[in-house]
Amino acid sequence: MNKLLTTASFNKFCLLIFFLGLALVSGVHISDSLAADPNAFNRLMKPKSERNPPPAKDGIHDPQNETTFVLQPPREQFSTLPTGKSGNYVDWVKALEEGKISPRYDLTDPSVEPVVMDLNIVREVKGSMPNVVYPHKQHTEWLDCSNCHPAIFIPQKGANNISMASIILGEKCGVCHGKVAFPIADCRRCHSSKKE
Amino acid sequence: MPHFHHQFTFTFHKLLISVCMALMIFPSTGNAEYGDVVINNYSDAAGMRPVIFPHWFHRVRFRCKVCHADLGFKFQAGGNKINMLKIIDGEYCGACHNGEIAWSVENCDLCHSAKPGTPTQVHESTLQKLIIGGKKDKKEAQ
Amino acid sequence: MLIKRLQQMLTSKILDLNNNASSTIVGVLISTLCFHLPVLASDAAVKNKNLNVNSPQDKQDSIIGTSVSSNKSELIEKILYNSSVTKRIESSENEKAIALLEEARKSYLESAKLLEEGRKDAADKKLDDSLRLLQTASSYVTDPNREETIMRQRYEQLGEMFVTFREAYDRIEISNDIDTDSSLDNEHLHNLVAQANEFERNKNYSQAAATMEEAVNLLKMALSTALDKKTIIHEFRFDTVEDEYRYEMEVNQSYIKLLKFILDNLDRSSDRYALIENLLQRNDQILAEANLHVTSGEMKSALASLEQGNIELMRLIRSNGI
Repeated sequence: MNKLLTTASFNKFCLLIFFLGLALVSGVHISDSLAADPNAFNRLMKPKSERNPPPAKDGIHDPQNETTFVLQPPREQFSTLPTGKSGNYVDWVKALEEGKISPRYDLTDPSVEPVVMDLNIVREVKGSMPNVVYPHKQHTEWLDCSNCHPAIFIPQKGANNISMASIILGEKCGVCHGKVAFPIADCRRCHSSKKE
Repeated sequence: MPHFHHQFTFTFHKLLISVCMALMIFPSTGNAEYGDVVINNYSDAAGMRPVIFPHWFHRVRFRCKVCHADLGFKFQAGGNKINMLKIIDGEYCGACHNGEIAWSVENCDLCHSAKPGTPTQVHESTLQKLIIGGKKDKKEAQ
Repeated sequence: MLIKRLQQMLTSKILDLNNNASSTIVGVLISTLCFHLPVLASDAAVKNKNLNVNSPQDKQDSIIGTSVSSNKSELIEKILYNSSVTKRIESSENEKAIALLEEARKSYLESAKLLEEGRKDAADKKLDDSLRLLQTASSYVTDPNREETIMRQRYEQLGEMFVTFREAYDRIEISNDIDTDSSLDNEHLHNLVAQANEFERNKNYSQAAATMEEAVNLLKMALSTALDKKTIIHEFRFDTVEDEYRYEMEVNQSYIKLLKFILDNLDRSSDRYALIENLLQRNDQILAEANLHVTSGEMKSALASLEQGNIELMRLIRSNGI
């Protein structure tokens, strides 16, 4: 009797898992069709479950490669870092400010400190979007002046024409933003100063 | 007892199927970390897996400037024409991956870890999304 | 492979526990385990620090394994016997490096022999040794040409930066709203640049770069002191109608570049292809209209029609989800 009961409950359990699996798999199909949405580019928010998967499940690492399982899963590294809204879902600037990470500024000497420049550039923009505030401070924490000047930006008023189309194409701010630095869809992080 | 065992294997099969299905939640494409760079200049042709460079992993350890100003990496995926000889000779990745700062070159599979045939790209980049949108359209049109 | 492992695990666990009442719990345990399995596997491997995990019993893996190591040995053979790096080491007088290269070659030959005997794992280890030895050898003998090129390029880049920042500094010094408080020693700066140029003329590029870097750093410090906690506003206004027209033209060109980029990556038969072609045609009309005004000297009308055209183009791009 006891045995039969166990079998019955085990059976139920199996069915439960089966349907759970089914639901999850169909869930994947739903998100697949979402990815094909032509409007996905700036409107799709990734569900939390699909963020920061381990290498073997991320779609580009080869799960046939044994060492794929040796690579650190992003979530492990991100667990102690402040969360962000997009990109890696990590607020990298905050992580650095709060000392959660201390990346080296020099290849071999950990004592080298960056030359930080605290200068804001406000760019008035055409149309109804708020003006852009460009803070040198946060940028010089990570980068050297030579990374941008003069090849990408000439440090002179009116010398740099920047359009969203060119940023989308990976020029100007788009050299980093939309690739590694926070994505372009995070509009208000740059367009942050209200017009009077 | 044998009767029970039979039943048990039956349910066991069911369990196995459901587990397998649950394992299928591996997302098909497009979930890799933002900023992961796939470099496939020579890999496919050499019969190696393409390289994946995880920006997120490296930016915790070094600021952008170290690679992009001091080591001369251009801001362009696949634009640096890196090959194994250069790395062994201490250029590009080889500046750190020399067994002193980071593990050295013999661990091929740690970098050469992408699915064969993955094209050079910055994963999740705006440009990539523009192109993928287009390619998806292609499929629908065919 | 994972599933196979799981299968083994499942069978062993279940047979072990037989028909126990706790099998349900085991089921839950196992299903949780299989969700976390990749993570566990990676953890274990990291703890082992064994990066070349080989499981010879697994057929699939051994196929990949051989293909990788044969590529590896091919690559290493090429580099060891016919590459600029080894030539550089051989022609150097660094005995340590030459000895290391010899050792690397020996390791490679041993690995080839081991591979013939079918001892793949041992062969792999020898190959790894060979690579490591070669890497160390090359680090002892740096390429003088490469060093020179790097330093020359560095010098040129720094020179460019110096000019850019010097101009920027002079501009803010002229504008009265920011006080530069003469924190910059102009004479010292001038001397540094002269010195750097002198080093460059004597082909001492590393000294030239170092001196120029000192000058650039002085400028950087002066700039960041002068501009500390300041805000510079780049207004959206134009001195002349021509300037504004040029601006609108650049905006237009960036839209067109974006549309053409998308078009290049689209299939001809796609609906969107036709849509973007239409947009491009519409833009030709807009440009032709604006140009007509320009040729008749009516810059204001030209600007108005181009501006209107740009707004239309942007609206169409957005509303079509591009």
